[in-house]
Order: sequence, then C-alpha cells, then structure tokens
Amino acid sequence: MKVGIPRALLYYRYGSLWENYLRNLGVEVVLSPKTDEVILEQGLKCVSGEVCLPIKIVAGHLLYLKERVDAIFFPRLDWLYDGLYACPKMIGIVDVARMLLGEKVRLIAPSIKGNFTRAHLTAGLAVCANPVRVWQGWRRAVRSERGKRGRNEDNLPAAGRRTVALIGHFYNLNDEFIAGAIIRTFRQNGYEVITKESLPGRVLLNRSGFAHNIRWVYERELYNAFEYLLGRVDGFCMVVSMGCGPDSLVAEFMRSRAQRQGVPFLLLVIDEHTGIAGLVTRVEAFVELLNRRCLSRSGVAAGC
Amino acid sequence: MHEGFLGIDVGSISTKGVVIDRDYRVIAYRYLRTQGNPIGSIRQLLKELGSEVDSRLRILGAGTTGSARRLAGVMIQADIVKNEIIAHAVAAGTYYPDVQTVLEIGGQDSKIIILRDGIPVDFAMNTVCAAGTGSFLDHQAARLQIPIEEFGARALRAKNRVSIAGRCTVFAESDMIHKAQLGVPTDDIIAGLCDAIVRNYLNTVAKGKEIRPRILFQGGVAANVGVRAAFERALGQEITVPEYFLVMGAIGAAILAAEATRGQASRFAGFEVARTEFATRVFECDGCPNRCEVVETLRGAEVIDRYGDRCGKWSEN
Repeated sequence: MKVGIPRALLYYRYGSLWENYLRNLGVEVVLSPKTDEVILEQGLKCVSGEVCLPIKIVAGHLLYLKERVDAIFFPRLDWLYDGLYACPKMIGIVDVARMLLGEKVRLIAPSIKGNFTRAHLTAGLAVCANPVRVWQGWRRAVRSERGKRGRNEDNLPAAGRRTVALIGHFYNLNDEFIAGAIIRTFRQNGYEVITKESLPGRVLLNRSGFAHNIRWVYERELYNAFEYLLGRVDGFCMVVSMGCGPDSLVAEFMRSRAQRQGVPFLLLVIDEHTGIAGLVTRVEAFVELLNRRCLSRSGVAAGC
Repeated sequence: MHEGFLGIDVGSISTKGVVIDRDYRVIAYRYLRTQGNPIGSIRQLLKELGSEVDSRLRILGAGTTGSARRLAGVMIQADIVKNEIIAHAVAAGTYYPDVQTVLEIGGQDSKIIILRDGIPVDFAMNTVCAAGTGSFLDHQAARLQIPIEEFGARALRAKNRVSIAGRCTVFAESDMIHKAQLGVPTDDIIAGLCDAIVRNYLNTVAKGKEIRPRILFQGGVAANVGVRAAFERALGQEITVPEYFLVMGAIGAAILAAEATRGQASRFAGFEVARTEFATRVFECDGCPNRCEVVETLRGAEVIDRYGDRCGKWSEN
C-alpha cells in the first residue's frame, strides 16, 4: 500500500515522525516534492482566492499525490493542549482535501483533539490491522524522534553574533519556496537567523501573562518566542501570510511592543503575488537599518 | 579639476541622476522618464550628465539605487548598489539632520521611513497595491486632459472638497467619474482625489507609524502641491519638501558611494558608458519545475550579469 504525505503544513513539524511510524507499519511512504511553481499553480486553481498561501500550497501537494498513491495521510489538528485551537483554515482544509481527492484516493485524516497519541493510533489501524504492531510501531517512531532532538536547550546563537529572530509559522519558514530568499538574504548579510522551533518547550508553552489570552496554539508559541527573545536578538522579522486571521492581532501586539522597547521589527506579508525582489529589498533595508543602528550606538562596534 | 560623486536612481517610471561635490552639494541633476526602457534611459542620463560635467569634474565614486539598481550598477560598474529605502533615508538625514519622518511617493511605490537621531529605525513600503502613487495621478491627469504639472494647483483652487474613495485605484476612478456626472467641478474632484491619496497612504503604508516632525515629503508626487497641502491638513503639521525632492534617492546613492569609496579608487566605468551597447535577454531555466525567468545583461556580446533565479545557479556564477 502506498501512502502519501503532503510536504506542507504540519509535515514541517511532524514529518519525520509520520514517515517513521508509517514505515514501521509496513507501508510504502510517498512524499510530495518540495514546493515549486507547478505545485503552487495546481493549488491556486482549486482553492478559493481568499485563503492564505500555505493552504493554497497544501492543496497543490494533495493534487500531486492524488495521481500517485492509494491513500493520503493528512491528520487534522483541532486542538493540541490547553484547549488551544489550530486556525480554522487548517482544520477546514481536511474537508477540502476530501473533496479534492474524491473517491479515488483514501484520506487518512485522524482528528487530533488534545490526545495526540490516540489520534495517531486510530490512523495506524486504518493501514495495519494488527493493533500490537500499530502500538509498537508508534512507540518506536516516538522514541526515535526523542533521540534526535536535544531537549530543553536554548539553542541561542553564540554571543557576539548578530541575530535576527524570524517570527512566523514553521510551515512558512521551513518551506524554501516561501521563505528561502528571506533567510538567505539575512545570512548573506552576516546575520544568524533564529526561529521558535529552536526554543525549548517550556518557553513556548508558557501560559502566564498575555500569552494566557491567546487561544490559538501556534500564535501562543509565536508570542512566547517573541517575549523570550526580546532583548536577546538584534531585531525581529515577522513573516505573515496575507489573510492570516489569528496572526493579525498577535502581530500588531508584538509590533507595538517592539516599537515601545525600541527594537527593530519588520513585518513581511506574503502571498502568491509577492515578488522575491520586493521581499529582498525589504530585508536588505532592514539589515542596513540594523547595521547603522549598531554603528551609531557603539561608535567602535562593540559586540555587534 | 573638481571632484564629485555620481548617484543614479532607476525607478519604474523615472530615471534620476545627480552629481554632487565633496560637501554633498548638487552640481548637476537630471530627471528622465524611464518609458519602459531602463537601459536607454540610463544611457541618455549619462550622456546628458556627462556633457554637463565631464570636462570639469572627476568622478570619485558612483552608486545606484531604485528598482533597477542592479542593472544600473552593472552597466556603470557602480561602487555601491543599495536599496531605495536607505538611499532616501541617507539623503534626507544628510540635508536635514533633524528629520524624523520621510514620506516618499514615487511612480509605483510609496514608502515611509522613520528616523531618530539621524538613524533610520523603521520603514514600510506599499505591498501589493499601487493605489495613490504617481502613475495613478498621471493617468487621472491624462484622462481629465490636465497637464500633470498643473494638477496640484487645480486642487488648491477647490471650493468644496468632495469625498473620493481612495482604497482602490479602480474604484477611485469610478467615483471620480460619478462625481463629475453629478456636476461637481473638476477642481473639487481633484482636491478630493488628493485627500483620498493621503488618506490611503496614512491608513496603509504609514499605519501604526509615529509621524513626528520634521517631516520631509519627497519623490515625484511631492511636486503636487495639492497632495502636499492634503498631507499638511491631515497631519496638522508642516511638511518640508526638499529642494531636490525629485532626485533624493539618487543623492542618497551618491552619498553612499562617497562613504563607500573613501580612500579607495572608484570602479566607475565613466560617462562613456553612454556610448556602449547594452542589451538584456531573458530565458527560462529548465533546471527544476520553478522555471525561473533568468535575465542576462550583455555588454556588446559579453554577458556581464545574470539574475532572477530562485536558487542562485545563474546569479552566483
């Protein structure tokens, strides 16, 4: 049995876990390729113009897999912990997927409602009839994930390195098609880039202060990362998909907070019309602004 | 023989060039329409500037900016190629050390730059929409058969400022037509349009920015006294339009070139570049499904630059 995983959205957080798990169940896993122009175009053709870029992209990936696999593994994240929801578009895209794929391809889309493990075990039973094997396959996959990640480390760049925090969703920042040029431009100009993915769980899961009021799971993580990194980096660059509802409020909150603290903050809005040139111009100008600010502060560059 | 620095700013609508002396005073400047042909307009610019200053001046450094900064940079072998935000900020801060806000509206883009203590600290540019920029004003002036130079003055003559929808160029135009059909005098409609442009700018590009004095207004649209007045009315503050508001980006590029070449020889190819043949060629790379359009710049038959690829396969070799 061939099971496809779209290389988009949650793949960028759980991809290797999923691949491992499905292989442990004796399934042949097919990954869609990295996002490219063709995949995006396919997606644009079949989803509403109103939705955000990552949703358009995932639709393209689903259509790519449709012709090549028997089933598609596409878990739906409703809420994860603390009653915090994923955004409605991420929840809804699974129903869109069901319509896109029609009868031809089976959709394995367990709903994650707080219990991550149970949802995955249910999904496992859909491809493997032996519950013992499913349980063992899951345990092994989870264990090998744990082994890969250094737990509870800050992973902050070494002191003395100029650093910009990229605040944005992992499915945007890790998709080279979307954010590659942004990250490259920062690096070429001598800046290290840090994202929330390299921060420890205890930071991201913080539920005190303003974070308590944020009811979206990833937005709370973004905000917690922002608060933690404030004062630890030279500037913030927030990457927001055009039309992202949950981000819009948190972004504005962070922007004004950064402004009050005198920390440079750049907001980049992305959609399929965003030219690379325009993004690069903004990033270059932002880098220049950081450099000049640094020079003027220290006279003889001290620590920056 | 005098010494100076050259700055070139190639935008979507216009091509600007200046020559400044060591004290950053403007010796010569030109403002040309790009007319969809940046190579031609850059050559024309060099020809005109060259004939004015070449015999009595040595260029110690050259810089380019604007959306075609890379093309201009490889053509003249610039010492520095910088984005237009920094170029505008540097020029503004050099001439007006007390500036805290720069409003810039050009042919197809608009931006705001916030400076504190002479250092640019924040900026924003229009993203996907070009409503309320110079080319829209151009278009409306042409439609109403009023020379663009007189457009702003007509707004000042308005007796009643009518309200025009400013969020979208297309809707603004239909609104203007509608008001005209109701019999509203043209001057009042133009004044309404100026208000709409300012309102749109403040609600989009300048949203969330703290606009403190001194406020400079530069870029092509600063020539429009109607928009200038509308800004003053909306902000309740005085607006300064610098003497060389049209070419501030080019001045910034020249200043940056002066800073970059201090004590070093310039790479500048000389005003003779105006006589060199340049061409560009576009091909679609078939290395991957992205099918990037790669642009090649040729001097004679020699390829001197490539860009436009996502991966760097062409531009970095």
